Amino acid sequence: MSTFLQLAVSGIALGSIYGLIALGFLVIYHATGLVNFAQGQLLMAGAMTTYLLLMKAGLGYPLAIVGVVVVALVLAVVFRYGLHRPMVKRGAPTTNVVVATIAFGLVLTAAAELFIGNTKYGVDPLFPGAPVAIGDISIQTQSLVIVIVAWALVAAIWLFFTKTLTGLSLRAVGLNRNAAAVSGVRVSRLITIAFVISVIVTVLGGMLVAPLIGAGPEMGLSIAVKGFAAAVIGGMSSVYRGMVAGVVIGLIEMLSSYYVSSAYAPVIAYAILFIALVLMPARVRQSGATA
Amino acid sequence: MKNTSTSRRAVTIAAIALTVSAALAGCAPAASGGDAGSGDGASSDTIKIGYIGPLTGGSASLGVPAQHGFELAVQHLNDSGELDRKIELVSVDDEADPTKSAAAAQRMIDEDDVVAVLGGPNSGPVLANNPIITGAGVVQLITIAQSDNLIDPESPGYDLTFQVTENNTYNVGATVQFFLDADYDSICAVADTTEYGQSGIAAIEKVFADNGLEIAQKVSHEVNATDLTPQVLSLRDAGCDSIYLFSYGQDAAVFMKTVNQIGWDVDVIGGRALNQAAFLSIAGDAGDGLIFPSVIDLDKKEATDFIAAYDEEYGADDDPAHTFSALAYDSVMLLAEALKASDYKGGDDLAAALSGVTLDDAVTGRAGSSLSFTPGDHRAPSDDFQTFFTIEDGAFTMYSNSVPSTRP
Repeated sequence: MSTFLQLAVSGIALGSIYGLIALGFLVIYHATGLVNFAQGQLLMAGAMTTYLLLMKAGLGYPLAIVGVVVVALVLAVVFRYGLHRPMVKRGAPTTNVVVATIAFGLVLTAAAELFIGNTKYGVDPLFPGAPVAIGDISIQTQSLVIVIVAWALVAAIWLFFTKTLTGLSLRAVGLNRNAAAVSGVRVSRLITIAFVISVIVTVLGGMLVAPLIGAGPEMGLSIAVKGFAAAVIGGMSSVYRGMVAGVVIGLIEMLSSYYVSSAYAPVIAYAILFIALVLMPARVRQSGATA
Repeated sequence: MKNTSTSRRAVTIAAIALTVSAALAGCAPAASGGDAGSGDGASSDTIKIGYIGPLTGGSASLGVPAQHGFELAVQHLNDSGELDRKIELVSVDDEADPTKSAAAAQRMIDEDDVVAVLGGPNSGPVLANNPIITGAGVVQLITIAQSDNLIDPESPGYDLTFQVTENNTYNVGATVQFFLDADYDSICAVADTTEYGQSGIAAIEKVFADNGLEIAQKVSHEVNATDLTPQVLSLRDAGCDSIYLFSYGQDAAVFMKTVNQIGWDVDVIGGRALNQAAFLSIAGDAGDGLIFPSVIDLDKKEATDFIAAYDEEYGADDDPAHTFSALAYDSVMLLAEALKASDYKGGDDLAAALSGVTLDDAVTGRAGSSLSFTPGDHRAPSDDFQTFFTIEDGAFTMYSNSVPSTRP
């Protein structure tokens, strides 16, 4: 039983990161119909910035958090006004913009390799010290931080989308952009807000995971693939369903790796994505997200 | 108006395609000093040597120190005037991708007119690029990659292929002594799914069988794993009392952090990839006390002189264990000796010269050991070459330079 619980704890922590990435995917997708394939590299940017500020510059966590959020804002603005908005204004098809997000991600990776370094770097946890013991299981303090912060972010964003006028307007933009515009909603501004939310959440995901696995330019892809799977399973429209799906994927990954075989674990994770992609398109269309 | 819009769109698509293809290609020649990559061929007083290895991507923490080791050796040779020619290094980034490595080899052969190619740290890419290099009649000196099958007397390219580093069997053959001395009841192994990890497991099983030991349980994982809790718990629950950790540095660090997290008191002995800076950086305290093989003997003057020169040039954090940069340095020195003997000719002349070269003052290896090739054995390290390192207070430190090691 203790083995199962130990695996479950790891699965929930890892899955919460997948859930945050899913959240990043679906916020932009819902507002614009765009699948942002730079999510993994944005997570990497968060991890590498944390390494720079915390380990190289020697700033403490409070300042590092502020720095990471500032970097996230800059990336969101560059992404929105340097890439997305100009392409959409020129009538570029969504597929072109999707390819542009891949290019954006590759540029981020290359920039990180060039300006920071191309190995993996250790990052101190928020609360250094011995793991927390609960009965027979032990939990790294950073895993607890991940779960608490990730779910708090989900709750905050859920409240934003359901209880604030801006959030409700953003949902309206996702459901029918023209109707929202006719109703006086400032669509462009709201799409920018969606970009900011998505990038901040993803970059903070990088900051959270860096103390567990280190920070490196190549770290984002495998996490992003599982985050994307969580977003698809969650229907690409629901804030909390993506998060729950992320945790389910994390749990399946951990449990199958132990109870089935560690050799098959990657196959199982990718098989989930494959099945999700095959089964979910109808549900995604029903969500009302459009290009 | 429509035409303008269409052409703009075409330009946009082309720009994106160019950006993506440029980023994906990743095989652009890397600046490595001098006129590297000019493709002009060697002039009468300059001779070009090539390096194909990962300068970006997950294996760059192996590939970049190697490049720096090559550069330092070239700088020392050129400054000393020891050779009648100047050496020029042409480096190409293969991102540890076998396909890109093969393409890079083809272009290096076609355009750069190199007299020899220095092979990178990853066995898979070396296996992919070697037939192209040797097929064109060019010598390849494998510097860091350890798979046993890189030197195969049955392969067509054998006559032109040489391995400077100790291979997996040599490495494991020395390491097995720790397991024999401790008389463990249940030795287990963990490795990644790359050529490095899987060929390592094969070597471990073979050497262990030769020594009357067996692996009770083995687990694998993807490289750059995000969580290795299932692997750690599998081994703990199987009753393992010692672990042979044959993974790259970053994954080994995640493994050790998990061992630490669950409070499992188990002896862990690692593979040579634990010399990576990434292991030290990510593992933190969890890496303390772990033993793993090295090629650096801190009681040897050649090694300490090299470390001082390297750290001054590239910084102490660039390759803190100095294993990869030192192997690269010695590879160039071996090549330089052979070039002198072959009168700076490549191909069969250079291969014949390499087969008679001995480096007694190598940076790598224990005091008294040497690097040499013979016509019948293209693997360089002599007996008693291997040393062992450990980590104390967050720093690499020598554990032993007296464990016997035998050329397989």
